[in-house]
Amino acid sequence: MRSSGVIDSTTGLGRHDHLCWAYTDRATFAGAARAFLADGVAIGQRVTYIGSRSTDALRHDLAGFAGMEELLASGAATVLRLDESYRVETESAQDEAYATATRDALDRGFTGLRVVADATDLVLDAAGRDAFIRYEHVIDRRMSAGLPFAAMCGYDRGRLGDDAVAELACVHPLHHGTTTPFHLFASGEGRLSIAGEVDALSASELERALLRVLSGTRPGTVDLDASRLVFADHRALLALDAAATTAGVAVHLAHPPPVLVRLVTLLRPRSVHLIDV
Amino acid sequence: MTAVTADHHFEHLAVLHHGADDLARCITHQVAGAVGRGDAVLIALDEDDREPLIARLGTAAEGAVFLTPDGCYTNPGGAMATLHRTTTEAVDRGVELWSFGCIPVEGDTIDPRWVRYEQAVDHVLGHLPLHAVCCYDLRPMAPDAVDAVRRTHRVVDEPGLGQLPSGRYGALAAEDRAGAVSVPTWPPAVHVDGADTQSMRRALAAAFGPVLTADRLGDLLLLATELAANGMRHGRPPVELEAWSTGDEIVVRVSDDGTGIADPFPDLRPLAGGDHGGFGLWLIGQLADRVVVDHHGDRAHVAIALATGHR
Repeated sequence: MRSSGVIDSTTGLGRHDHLCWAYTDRATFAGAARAFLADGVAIGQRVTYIGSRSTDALRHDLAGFAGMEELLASGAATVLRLDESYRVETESAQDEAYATATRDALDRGFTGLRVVADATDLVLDAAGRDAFIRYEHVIDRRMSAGLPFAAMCGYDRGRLGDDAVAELACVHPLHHGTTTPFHLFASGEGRLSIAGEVDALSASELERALLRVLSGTRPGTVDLDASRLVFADHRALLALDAAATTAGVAVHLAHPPPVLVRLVTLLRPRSVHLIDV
Repeated sequence: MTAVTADHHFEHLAVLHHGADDLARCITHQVAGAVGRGDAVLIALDEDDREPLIARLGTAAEGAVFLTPDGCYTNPGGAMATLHRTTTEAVDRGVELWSFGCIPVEGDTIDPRWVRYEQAVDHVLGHLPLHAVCCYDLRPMAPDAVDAVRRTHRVVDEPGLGQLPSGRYGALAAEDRAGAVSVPTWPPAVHVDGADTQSMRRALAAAFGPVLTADRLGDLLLLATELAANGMRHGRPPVELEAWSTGDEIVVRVSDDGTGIADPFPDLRPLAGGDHGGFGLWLIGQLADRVVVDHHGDRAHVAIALATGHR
């Protein structure tokens, strides 16, 4: 089962983990990024650090990382500027770029790829955020499918605001420093997982996130693992049903909590069904 | 959609009887007539009450559907939803529904939640072609309980007298409704801001999780959330939630500064939500064992009670 939930530390994560790290203090973010990358080096992953500032400033963030100069010189570590490295022309372009980069790392004898990217500049406006959140889920599916690629997505709360950060965070399995009450993420074999809690206060956010996440799926059936869903009210179920109906998919709930079984039994939604497991 | 013609028949009458044989004598004619006309006939009577009736009906019994009262009368919201659904299904088939049932009598009294249900039937289903015949065995019932039957039914089949208009119909005090939930007078175990639903659920789970099964705790958290959401959507802040354990039940009261709900039976109304919501009060009716809405002390209140044990 994939790791999910709130984290306070970036150490000890696996080779497919995907986390959202919202920060207010850049130095603290840099420290968390160093720890995440150091773990990657320790398990043989090639590491990349990406941000919007100058390469020198980004390199400065990594100061104190033991052996960084050698890693940079050998190509085991790279530092890149966001505007030079991120491909945003289509939703799948950056996903494919990371898949290629991960395969390249494997070809060179690394065990995979690990990236820290501060993507704040790509998500400052609503349109950019919408496109980027769709991409976040596409790459999340690839990670959960077994690509040895781990990513830490940094977002500046001061520049984005809590609502925008929550919107971004809710499509990551792991998160820090955000207020979103729920998470949608891929959990292997084409499955989707939902964790946390959703009620009338967050139902519209759930519907918006689901529409983005489901936009990349083929019509048919989506298995939704609800074993980590703590609570849902009727507006949450209706949001799920509305998004599934709009996306033209039937959602099959696996391991729903008792409260969701109750709601589905009483309200009989169009596109959300209980399955026997 | 269900089309209801203007000349439909609605009746909600009580049959006061002296046991199974007497009951069979009182209602056989009605049941046989309804079956003969091709109407839908539901009979939710105890097995003991059923046998003499079936014997009297003969082959007409095959035209009726027999149910167990336990399955029909678990809580008022569920009972009302079933009655509404079966009536509209009958309408869709072009017939009327005859429902013969026995509301649970506990000892010599009728639980106030069922008095409230009986009171609501005319308000909630009065526009439908429904003949709701409520059968009460007089023998164990105290005078107050018999009076409650006469106050909630326009027509009562009185022993030896036949069907008569009830002189007591409608004589219902506000206390009858309020009596459906006894809000404790001692300080609540939980008293929180209903606007912070996450913290509210954590406080409820901490207080009552140890005494409830996972399913019942889920129901409690859903009820509390739907009540709070309703207060925020339709009422005025501050929305407050208080909760008590009385041993047998968890009592939850949500209050706000709004004008409250004018409808005294919002939880018993048919399902009427939309694509994104509007089912909150209906769900409350399905899940709660008791519901009361009222307005006092300048605050609007909805109080519910949920049995701690299995129903």
